[in-house]
Amino acid sequence: MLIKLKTFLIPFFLILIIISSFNQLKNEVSTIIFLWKSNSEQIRKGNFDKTYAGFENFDYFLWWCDKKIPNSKNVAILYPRETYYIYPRTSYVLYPRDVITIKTERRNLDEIYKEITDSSVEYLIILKPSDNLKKMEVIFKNLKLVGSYKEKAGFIYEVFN
Amino acid sequence: MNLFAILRLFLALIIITITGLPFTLILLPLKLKQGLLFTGTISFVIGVGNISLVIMLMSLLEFSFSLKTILFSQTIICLIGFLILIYKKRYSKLPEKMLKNNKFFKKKKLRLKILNYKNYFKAFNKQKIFKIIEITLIILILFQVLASIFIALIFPVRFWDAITCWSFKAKAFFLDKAIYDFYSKHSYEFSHPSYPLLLPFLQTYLYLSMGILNENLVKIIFPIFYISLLIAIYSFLRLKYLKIVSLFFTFVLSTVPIICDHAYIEYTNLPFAFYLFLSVMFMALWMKYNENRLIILSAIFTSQLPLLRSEGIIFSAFILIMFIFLLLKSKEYDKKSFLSKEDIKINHYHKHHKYKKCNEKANLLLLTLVIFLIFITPWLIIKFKLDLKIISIDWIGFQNSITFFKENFMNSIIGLLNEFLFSKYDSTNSFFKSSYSIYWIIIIFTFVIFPEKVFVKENGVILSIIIFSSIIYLMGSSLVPDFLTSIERYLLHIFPISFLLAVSILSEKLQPFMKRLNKSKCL
Repeated sequence: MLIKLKTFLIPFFLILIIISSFNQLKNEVSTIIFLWKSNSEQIRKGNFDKTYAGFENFDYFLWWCDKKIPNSKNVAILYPRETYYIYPRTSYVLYPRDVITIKTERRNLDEIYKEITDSSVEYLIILKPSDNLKKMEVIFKNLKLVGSYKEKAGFIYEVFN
Repeated sequence: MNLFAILRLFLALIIITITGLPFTLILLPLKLKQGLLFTGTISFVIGVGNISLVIMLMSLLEFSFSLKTILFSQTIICLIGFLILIYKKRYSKLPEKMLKNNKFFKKKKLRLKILNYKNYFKAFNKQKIFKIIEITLIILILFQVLASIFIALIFPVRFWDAITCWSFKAKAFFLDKAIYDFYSKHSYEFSHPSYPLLLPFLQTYLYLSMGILNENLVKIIFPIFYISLLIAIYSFLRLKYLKIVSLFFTFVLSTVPIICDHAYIEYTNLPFAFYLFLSVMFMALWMKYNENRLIILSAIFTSQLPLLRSEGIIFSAFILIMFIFLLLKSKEYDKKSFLSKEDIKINHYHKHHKYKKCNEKANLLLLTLVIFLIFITPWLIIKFKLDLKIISIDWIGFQNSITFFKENFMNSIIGLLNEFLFSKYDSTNSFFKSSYSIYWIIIIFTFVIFPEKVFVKENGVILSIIIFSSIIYLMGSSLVPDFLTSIERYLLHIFPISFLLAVSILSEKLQPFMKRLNKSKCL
């Protein structure tokens, strides 16, 4: 009985293996076609480094920051709460600048400002200013707006001591 | 794409292989050395170890990273290797005949047999179906390889762990020309500072070689590890089985979805699996044939494990203990057919002239420990200098361990079974879902229905590692439940050896059938 089972199972396994392998081949072909179609323009131009721009194309903003902020300057990024993605990605793209994070949720402006000045950062990145962060340069005279990526989001401030 | 950078990258990879070549020629038995691709693969892997060692030593001496210094150090290592090779050949009075007889040195045989289409056309009438199948399998494997290269190179480094744990450090080391700034000037806890640095060092070396920070090109190392694994599996299968059978199972391995995924996702799991595979296979061969050079090779690969992943130190310790146990148990030399006549001559000479009065077991143990220390000590000193924690921040969740353990042990077992049966977890979110397809089920079924073939003495080393790592990861995910969500990556470490063991049994059953077919007049 066991011998019969073994004799049956070996070809059965082999058939399963062959089906599975060819299924994977099929998946790979469709993946490659999909990747080629969606990136063909960048590939033809040789812009391989632009084929992926982070989660929701966040890197486009970071590449813009990279141009605006000098290499030797340290940066603080302000955002409401701890995020899993933004901080590491920002640190990675903006290296060798030292990037720190400052949380803004449930804190008043003075507390945030104190943390900015204590941390001796030279540039601030504010992704999407909530009410208390709007027009920071008007409230704090030692902040100067360097540029904004979009009209209402993605601000860079220079911090003067 | 920068053509000059591609050329420099290509040269950098060749240099890695050349630095490992003398050690491969010294340590690899002739039967395995005859496979040019396998020799190249082993040279590359040893070369990677050399690169990481050189950069570790440069870091310890606080030298600034420069390509010139690295190449100079590599040249010295390479020269030492070739001097040992020449010395060994002279010392052992390696006969001219050996060089003449050795197929490896015969120009005619240097051509890759795989690509020798003349043979296929000659034999076309005789065994045409076999040859057609072989060519088809080679084409399919080549397609797999090219697909992995395409998917790897089309994107810059993008996967989460790849950036935070490995590639971030490589970028930092390249820009800072040292490792200390990254650790002292920043406090990036998310980057797991305590994680080992073999992969970042390899990437740093490639960045230095290219002279630019090209994230796409540096990813070529992942398809290379994938190709190396395929070559290694093929070579080990080929020791015993027909070419067609070996090619078939190599193709099968190349299509396992999780292996395809890890050929481009920039994680350390595939390189770790590959190093563990080599380490275990050479130890298994050493156990079978009692050939000392094989255990030295195994020691080299085992000592790289702690430099690749944190848990590598546990694996290395286990393999070392297993080696000591086997060494103490092993009998005197009993050479078998695996070694060629020339190999036996060399060992016979050594046995009776050089080591006659020495205790060979003690020497071997000492040599193995020295290899471990050479590779592991610099990393431990660097860790100490940088004041890095022994365990990573992942283990912060490891509190009230006994309570955690009791609560989560059953969950871990269920999670492990779910992974075996349905490939439940996918911590990478890559294209092919990090799936094992039906392969774990087939592997486990093969183990269950052929226990007389699996649970034999010569498979002891492989089985011990499979059981040990299953226990380690089961306990790990019981103590830190988050580990369970990445269990598919941890199982990848033992997948190649489990796969090889299972397909060896299937090949054994398949081989007689194929031989009969081969001889059959109807073909």
